[in-house]
Amino acid sequence: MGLPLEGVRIVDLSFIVAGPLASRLLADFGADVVRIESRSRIDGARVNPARLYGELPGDANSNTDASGYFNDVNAGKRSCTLNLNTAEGLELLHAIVRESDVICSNLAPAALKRWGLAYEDAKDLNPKIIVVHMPTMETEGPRSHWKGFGDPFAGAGGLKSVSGHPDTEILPFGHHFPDFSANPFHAAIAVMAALHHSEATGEGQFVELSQYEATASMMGASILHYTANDEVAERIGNRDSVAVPHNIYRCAGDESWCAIVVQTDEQWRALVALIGDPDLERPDFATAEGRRAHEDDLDALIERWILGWDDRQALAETLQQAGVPAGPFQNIEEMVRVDPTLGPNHFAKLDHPVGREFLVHRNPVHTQRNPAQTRLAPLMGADTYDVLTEVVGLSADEIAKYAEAGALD
Amino acid sequence: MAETGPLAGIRVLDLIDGMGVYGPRLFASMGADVIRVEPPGGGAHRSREPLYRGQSGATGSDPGNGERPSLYFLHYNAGKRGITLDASQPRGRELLAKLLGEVDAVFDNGQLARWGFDLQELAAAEPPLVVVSVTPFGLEGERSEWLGSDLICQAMGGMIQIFGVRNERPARFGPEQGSEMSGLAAALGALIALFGSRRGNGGELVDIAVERVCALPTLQMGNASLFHQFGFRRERVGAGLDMPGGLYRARDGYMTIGAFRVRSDAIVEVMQQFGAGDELVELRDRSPGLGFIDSPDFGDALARAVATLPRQELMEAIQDRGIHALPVTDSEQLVSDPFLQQRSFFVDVEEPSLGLNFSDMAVPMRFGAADARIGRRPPLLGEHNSEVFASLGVDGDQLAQLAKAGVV
Repeated sequence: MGLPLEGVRIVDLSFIVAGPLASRLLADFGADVVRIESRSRIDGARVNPARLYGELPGDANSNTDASGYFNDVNAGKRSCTLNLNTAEGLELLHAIVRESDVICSNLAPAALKRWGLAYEDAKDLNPKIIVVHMPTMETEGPRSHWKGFGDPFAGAGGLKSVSGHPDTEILPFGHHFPDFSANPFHAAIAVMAALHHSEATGEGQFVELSQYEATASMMGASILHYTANDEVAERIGNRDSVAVPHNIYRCAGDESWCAIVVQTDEQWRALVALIGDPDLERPDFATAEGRRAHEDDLDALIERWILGWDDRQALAETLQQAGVPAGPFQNIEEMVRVDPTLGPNHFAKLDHPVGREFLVHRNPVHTQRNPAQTRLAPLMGADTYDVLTEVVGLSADEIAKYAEAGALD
Repeated sequence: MAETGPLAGIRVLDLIDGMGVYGPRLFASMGADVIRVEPPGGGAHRSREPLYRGQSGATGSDPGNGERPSLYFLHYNAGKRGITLDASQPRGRELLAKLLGEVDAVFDNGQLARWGFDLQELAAAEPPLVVVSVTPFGLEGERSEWLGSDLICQAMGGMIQIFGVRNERPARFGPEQGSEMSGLAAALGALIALFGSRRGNGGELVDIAVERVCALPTLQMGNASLFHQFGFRRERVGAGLDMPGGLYRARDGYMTIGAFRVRSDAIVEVMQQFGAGDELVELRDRSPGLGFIDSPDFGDALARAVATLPRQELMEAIQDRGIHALPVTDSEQLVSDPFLQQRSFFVDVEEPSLGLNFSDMAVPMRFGAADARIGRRPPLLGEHNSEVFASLGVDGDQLAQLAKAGVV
């Protein structure tokens, strides 16, 4: 049994994260994702800039094959370097498109147009082609030139209005959240839905995924709350409408926290028995309603006990053993070395030609019968020759001629 | 009803009553026939906040238990059919087994195992069935029995590990972004496995662990490779994070401005265009060239200038210069955004127990060849019992008996 997407070829015209991650999610399942790259305009994710990661040893800041970030969001792809400023380079790109099923791109609409790959043109090359384009706002129209990315999308899509503690300043999410969630996932889903349509009807199509709209889609029921109730959803910190208590509590020590979520009265009784504090045994705390009326007091009482714990992993284990939903606030070290759900079950250790070992997130879609593969990301241009021979069908002599004409990069 | 959308012809059972609820909703809005299965009293999502605060039952019947309808339920169930079934009873389990034989995929939060179904067996059955399981910690591994939730998975998965300020209480991404992302992963997994089925791979068991989904956003700033290789780790530094897209407060709301290398001259020109550039020009002339945009003085002066200007016009002007600028919005501003309105991002969905229409989001993908939209209002409790059970050969009398026995 082959991987489910074997035989599907995706031309990856994308940069940084939101676009690359979309096709990477599919590469793990056997899609042949051909990344078109250029040495004159290197994907910013190909390096570990000191600005973000500090001064790293050796050439780790500058080596364009050694970025932890790039090697994650491009795992399992091929890299083909073309000079798209030459007619011959464009010819090769078009030849690859003729032999492909999908183009997935988060580049500016103008770039696709310039390369003759706006949908109408791409369709002329390959009538069955699926083009999934991820503009900031729109592919055609007065805002087609707008720029946007990651964390600002979280603001634009409304997510910041419902994240964080009430009455505090709006803060960056810390990472470019929509680049790892709404945008690549909706794009990968769009590719798959269009592939299903193509299997059923033989038709290709253009799919527009506005990243502004994709991020706003994560607002869930907050939109109906406004349109039906005329109420604006606000930041509620860690509160929940069902579970109470429901918070992240301070443990002893530096930056040490543990989440506790009480979903039922039974779990509440288990928590009270474990803590053994008579202040928590009040009868009006026995129901969710009663607990909600005193949630701040409850949180303080619970935290008084949690502050006596200096090992958040042991604390969470103890709570879980007692039947109380809980989990430590984990940092990258715990994620990689301690947590059994993550650790080696989630991070694939891959030896890389740059001489270091990389930890690459496995696909969050686990399939038990026919598991996804986690493979290395390509070195820059490593597959140019293979792609041109296998996909385009060129001979070594023909490739040499293209190289002479400056088509390769 | 004519089915439209790229997933027309795909049939799905939806047992989700917890995390990952966005997954089957996406299927429904892309044209799949999604049957939401609830216990005879209604699922937990029927009473989940936010509830409708207007006149309950104004023009129709109550949604089940005389309570106000849940907008949460209405949002996530638009486009689906709905049936009731108590599969903890033998007759109900039998009917569910029959239904599972009729569909292409099932979304589950653990109910199937509780009712005695073996997920591996289901996934190996003929005709092929794609079983999509969404649980906090996955189906395998030593913590698979742990109790979890959106908050717990966000905390454990590292999703919020660099949000906020070190040693100040962490807060989660709302609304329930761990659950929401897991819905995306569930839909993606289902589509990939269904594609494999189409090509002869048989069924599949898709095991979505919410914690693992929550771990994905760490791959840039909290990169595991850089930790592994060099011990690199990010701490929570609140607003002091060195990342592009700085936050500014315009006269009428927050916005972000900037990109990886802000073209400072262009920004200064925009501010001059609005008559608010004097201070910036002075700063630039004092330290021409490099270093200007990196100085805190520049940021402060820009913030003072932005604070005097209207957000929308400023945003347009900055974007026209090729520089990133986006608003920081809330639900009201999204719904009122003329850009989204003109693109019909919001559609009217009828709320069945009230007979009223409310604006909601359809699906962000615009499929050129197969228009995806919400083809059906959210179901009343057990609304499609007769038609769905009739397709299994259960006639009206039998259905009445099942209802009497509390099976449907």
